[in-house]
Amino acid sequence: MDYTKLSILEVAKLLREKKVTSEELTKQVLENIKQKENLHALNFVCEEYALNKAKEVDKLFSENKELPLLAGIPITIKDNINIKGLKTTCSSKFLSNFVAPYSATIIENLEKNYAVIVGKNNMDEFAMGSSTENSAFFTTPNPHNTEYVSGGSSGGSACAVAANLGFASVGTDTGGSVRQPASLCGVVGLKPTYGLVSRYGIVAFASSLDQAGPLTKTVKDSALMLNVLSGYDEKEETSSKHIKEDYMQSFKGNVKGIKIGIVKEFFGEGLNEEVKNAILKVKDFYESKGAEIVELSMPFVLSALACYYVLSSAEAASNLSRFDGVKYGVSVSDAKNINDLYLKNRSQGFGKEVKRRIMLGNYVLSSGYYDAYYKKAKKVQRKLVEEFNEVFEKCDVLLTPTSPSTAFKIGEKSNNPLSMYLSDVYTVPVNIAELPAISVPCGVDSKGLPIGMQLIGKKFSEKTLFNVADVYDSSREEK
Amino acid sequence: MKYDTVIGLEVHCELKTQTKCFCGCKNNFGDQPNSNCCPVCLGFPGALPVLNQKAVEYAIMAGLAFNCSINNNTVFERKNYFYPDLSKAYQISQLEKPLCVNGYVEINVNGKTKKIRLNRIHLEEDAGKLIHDGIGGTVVDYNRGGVPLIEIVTEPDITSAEEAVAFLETLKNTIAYTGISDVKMEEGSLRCDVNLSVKPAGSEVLGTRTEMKNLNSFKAVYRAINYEQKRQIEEIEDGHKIIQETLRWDDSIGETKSMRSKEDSQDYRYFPDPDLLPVYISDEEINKIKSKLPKLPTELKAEYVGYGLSDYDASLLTESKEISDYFNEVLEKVNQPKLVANFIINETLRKLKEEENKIEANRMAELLILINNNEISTTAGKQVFEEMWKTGKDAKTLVEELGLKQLNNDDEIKKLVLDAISNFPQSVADYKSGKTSAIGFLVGQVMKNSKGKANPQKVNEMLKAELEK
Amino acid sequence: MITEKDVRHVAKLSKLEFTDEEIENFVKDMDSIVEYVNTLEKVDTSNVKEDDVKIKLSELRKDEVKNSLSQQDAILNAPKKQNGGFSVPQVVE
Repeated sequence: MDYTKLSILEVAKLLREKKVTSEELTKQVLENIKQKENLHALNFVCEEYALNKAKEVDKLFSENKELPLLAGIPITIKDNINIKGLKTTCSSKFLSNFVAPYSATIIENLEKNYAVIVGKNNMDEFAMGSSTENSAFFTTPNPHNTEYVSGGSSGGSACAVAANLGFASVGTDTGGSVRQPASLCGVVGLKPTYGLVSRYGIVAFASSLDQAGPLTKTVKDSALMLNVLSGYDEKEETSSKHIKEDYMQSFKGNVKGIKIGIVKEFFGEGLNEEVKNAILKVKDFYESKGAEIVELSMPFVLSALACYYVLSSAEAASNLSRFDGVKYGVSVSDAKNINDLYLKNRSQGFGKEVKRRIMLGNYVLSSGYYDAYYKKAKKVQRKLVEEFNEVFEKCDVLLTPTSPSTAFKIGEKSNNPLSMYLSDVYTVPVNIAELPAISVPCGVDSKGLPIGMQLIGKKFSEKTLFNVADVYDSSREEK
Repeated sequence: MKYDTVIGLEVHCELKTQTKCFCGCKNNFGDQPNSNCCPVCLGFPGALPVLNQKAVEYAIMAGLAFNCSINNNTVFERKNYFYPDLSKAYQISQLEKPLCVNGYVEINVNGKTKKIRLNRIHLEEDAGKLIHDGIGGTVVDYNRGGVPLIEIVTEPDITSAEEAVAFLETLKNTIAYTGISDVKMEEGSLRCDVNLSVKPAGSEVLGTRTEMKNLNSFKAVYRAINYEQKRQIEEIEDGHKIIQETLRWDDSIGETKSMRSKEDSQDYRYFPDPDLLPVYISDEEINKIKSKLPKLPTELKAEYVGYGLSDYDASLLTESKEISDYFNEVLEKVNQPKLVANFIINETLRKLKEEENKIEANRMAELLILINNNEISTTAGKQVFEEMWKTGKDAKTLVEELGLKQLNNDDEIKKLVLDAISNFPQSVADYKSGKTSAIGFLVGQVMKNSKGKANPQKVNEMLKAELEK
Repeated sequence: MITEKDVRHVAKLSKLEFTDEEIENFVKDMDSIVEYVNTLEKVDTSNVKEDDVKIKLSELRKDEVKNSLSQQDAILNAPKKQNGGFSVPQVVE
């Protein structure tokens, strides 16, 4: 039997019933990865590491040890998250040979839960992009149609989960990088509240916006993963001291009395009709299940994208300065002097989009422009937070499309950065306001490409999000 | 034409915390290269800084010691520039909301006191060390990278090399008293940059300034200032313009050399570090730190003057924490401020110019107790002190060995007094005829005959009594 | 308007070198992005409150020594190393 199509919760049950072993699951996943090598969902596979872990877990199961739900489950990890002793490349030429000397806190959390990590996912270089075309190694196509993109930047993660190359993946989301590829590949993607999941050991793109989150097949699996990933980390000053919650307790099975906000700005110009109709159908579904629909407006919400490109690029320009080829990374041997070394290493190590963001970031931070761009964007950010606070006085969650369109063709937007950036227009406000949001599949378009809906909640309202998302997700599974 | 020199200083001082400013690595000088390093201070991908509480407290202590206001809200910013000693290619520093602002340091030059205003004191991380291998390469050691540092920035209130050095000495001494830093210039835990410009005497308009770096001793600061003000004046007199640039002082040849001019001056692109939160410090916490601040030289000096010491003596005793601690410790056992002060100033300080202190406070106290109880004379005490320093023996043993115990026996003293009176009738006659100063000679004779051991006070009293019979 | 001079200046700050053709493309790309970003001006932010997220002094990290990496791990990934340190071309001070 092929177990790889099941959800984590389903195989966790089978593992406990001893109907399958972790080693069998891991081998099936590894076999799938080999079969679907053309998807380039992974930068590398750590077969030995995974099989050893699987055997260790099987031994514990055979001793009837009570293990966490994630024990023995093969998963993949986006290649910007450090695992000690394995490579962390960020899909960049610059880091192509970098071996992490320490593990991210979330990797330690996953290991404490006996997760079986089988490989690292391809991504847009340094998580900058919306299509995985910016990987220095290869493009990860959409598993539903390989002429189309998988989205990005966690395209490898989304593709892997959709193609059953692991039961879940952990991605990172700075402006939509978990939710948008999840939407385009037809899986569930969660961006937790800023500070809920530790950033320590995750290669930073934009520190104030980055947040790791799970990509899974179901909403319940997403909650299960968040239980493992979340928690205060003393190694990160911005880590939240929010009380540890059990997200598996989110599920009430109904949305009675829940107020769902529909913000008109998320349904305006630029939104694909098919996507729009799919989301409106979800709205009707919730209404039929007893939720109250509230029509709202947030006049400035879409300014978040401009705000995002200022803040994320500024932070990225500074965060990526450490990549100079002195302490690690690829370095040329013919540098004339130190400045030449920096210029050559960085110019040869970084791809075009990364350079573009660094340039934009240093432009908005440079003398004479700082107030007009960076400081202004910080103020707009506050304005947006206030706007969100206002709408959340009138509703519990917002329902929006995740992306304005379904997957676009590979190459279609690669020469127009601005049009590429616009595919994040609905996801970015969430990062700017530090909110949680989840993308859940809600049908396919006429080309058979997945459509995703996004539910946005107040800070630390993940439980509400999971419940509302699950009511739809479970009904979808029943269909 | 006469010129005024305008000088501002930027002083960097490493804080003596256990760990670095933003990670738990040991803050220690002189270890193997890159052995006190972790992903954070090496700038590894994914590592994040976490601010050290003690470093903030120490910086606040410095601020309070120099009369600054402490900002309740303070922000850490990134100063972005590429240099191999900077592992992240940015230094975490402070620009818009530093910890401490608007202080001053009172200095004393040629008997006059002057206030040098401080613009700010902020907290930042140190850079690593570049070691030149001598064969055309440089090796980077990040052990020092991330060590907490305070930068003390003065207003341009300093007008001469003398004032600059007096400022630095006062600053260094006061910081040493707070205990927040070793303030060792030779180990680089205290460093100083000088901003200097000259202008026609009395002019309101400031001249173009240069910044001098690599000043590794107070003497270098002194020489560099004198060199640079002369150079600038000569340039102007020759009709040249001063170029705003950064200069490197070469102490071996006593000249400055250009490092970079303003045209390629850096654009540091400061912005708040998104990995760090703004820090809130309550007035209550500031007061708590204030209450923990040790007594500073200015306070101690006032205290000593209160004991009846002269202003000058009190200054000498507060020139270093080592001395005032020593003074306080001896004083605790021998409650005779003048006696203790005189002995430490005349004997110990003289010796300290040559070597380390060899007599612990408790042993010094034993000696001074002997003097205070009239068991030995002050003169004998000085002799004992010398021997203690040389031999390490204690005071009582040496008094025995050297036979210096003071003669207090009335009968024996009386005998010596009577001898003197009979041997020097002229002096007796002088005294009786009203020249009372003649007694000095007779006291001297008694002392001489007792080999200095007779209690001089008793000798004096008895002589008087006999002469007035 | 982004000019070629702007782009060259920012490239210098970024420690990136470009061909003339790349510079030309950057002028166009960045110009369109910056034009988009300029829409921020339209957002009235005159009444926004300051961010109030702060950490208290008492919540900061305690000054306790944690394990460092071994010297070997510290320089493990260094492209050029020498005597336990990271090697770079000579830096003239």
